[in-house]
Amino acid sequence: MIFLLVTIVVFIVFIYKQKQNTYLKGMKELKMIHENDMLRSQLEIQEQTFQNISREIHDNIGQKLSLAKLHLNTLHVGGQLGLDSQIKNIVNFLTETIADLSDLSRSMSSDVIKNNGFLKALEFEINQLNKPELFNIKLTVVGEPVFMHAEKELILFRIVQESLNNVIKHAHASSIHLNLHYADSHLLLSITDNGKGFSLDNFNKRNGLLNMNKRALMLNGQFDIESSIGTGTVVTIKLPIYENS
Amino acid sequence: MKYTYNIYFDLQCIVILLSFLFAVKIVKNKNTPRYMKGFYWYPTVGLLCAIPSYIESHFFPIKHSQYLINFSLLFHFCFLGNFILKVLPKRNVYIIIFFYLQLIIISTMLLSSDWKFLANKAFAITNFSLALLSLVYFFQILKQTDLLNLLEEPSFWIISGIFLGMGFESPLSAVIDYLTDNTLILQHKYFFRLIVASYIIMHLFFIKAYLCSIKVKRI
Repeated sequence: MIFLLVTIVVFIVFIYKQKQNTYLKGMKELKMIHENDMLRSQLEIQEQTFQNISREIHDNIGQKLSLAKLHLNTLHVGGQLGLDSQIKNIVNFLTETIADLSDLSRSMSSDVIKNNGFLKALEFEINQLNKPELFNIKLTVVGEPVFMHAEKELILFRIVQESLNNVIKHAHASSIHLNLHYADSHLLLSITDNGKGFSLDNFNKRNGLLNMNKRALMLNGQFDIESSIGTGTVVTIKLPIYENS
Repeated sequence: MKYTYNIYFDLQCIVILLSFLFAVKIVKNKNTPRYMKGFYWYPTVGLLCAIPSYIESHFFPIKHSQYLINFSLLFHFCFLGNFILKVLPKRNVYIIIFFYLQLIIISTMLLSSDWKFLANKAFAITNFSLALLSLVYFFQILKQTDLLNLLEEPSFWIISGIFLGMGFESPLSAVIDYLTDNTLILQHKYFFRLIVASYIIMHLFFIKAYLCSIKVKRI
């Protein structure tokens, strides 16, 4: 009799625990979906802002600067000594500024990725960063490049941009090496620098790294970082190329 | 025979005493849920009833001790029944009607002139009703959406104690009633020992509930 009663109680506890686990699992999934949605919205807003700034640079500021340059080129100074060369200098500055703004506009715009793909956009970005000759940035591609979904490529591109930005701002590195390895089902991207490195103890406090991690998770990928003080940093991102892989 | 029975009875008194001490201890604890604050009344009355019974079983018979047993049974049903109603996630009219109907039946049985004849039946009905109410609680917690950490929930341990203790005691009371009807008095002691054991089990579960009351976590 007592055995039967105890069995009933144990059975109830067992059923309840199972229900509880299912509930908690459901809650966890919902939370993850919600977080993903939030991040996606954030990225969309960010992309929209980038797009607006990019368009503004290209259509408005760029146009005005071009107009100013045109006016300067058609300016007759009447043979005044020194003024001619000064105008030439201003025109040169304006030309450089227009080119920089154009590059900035292209870098911010997602059109480059949508039209030319991730790899081309990355090559363009590296060329831009190599221009001032402050860093030596190399790109190595292994395997046959594959076009992924435009949104996926854009998010991946933003992760790389953020990572490069971190190296430029904080690492004091002279050499950065990007390695893209296209395997059968996944893409392995690594960014290695020879900078000062940092301790990973406070990983959770670094918003930039957390954002990169979240973005990689959103793409069903893995984000890893290896670093210690004085040894440089290696950021690795592993992504499934196809949606179902 | 009597010696073994006394050991059981002593053990029951010790467990009720422990239960009383723990119940008093949790009253001022800020983590104790509200429904547990007044629970010390149950082991208090249990202890008050156990003392005369203890004297009776060890030393000398006390006159009119049956009135105390009647009172304790009524209190036992009212208190535990009310407790179950209080902690039920969903209290509906049918359960309340069931509770009061049982209360009327038991009171009538105990107040009747032929109480000696009806006492065992009253015990059986009381405890069977409490076991049933406990089952209602179990079904309701399985259905509810607001999930608790069951093994740290004092109400769960109290109800489990009632369910195990009373679910075990109720058929025993019925058997004793049958034996009394058939004047098989000799077998009584054996079943009484088991009844005492059922109360010990119940109070041990209550102690676990008091311990849980000290730290209640909700998900």
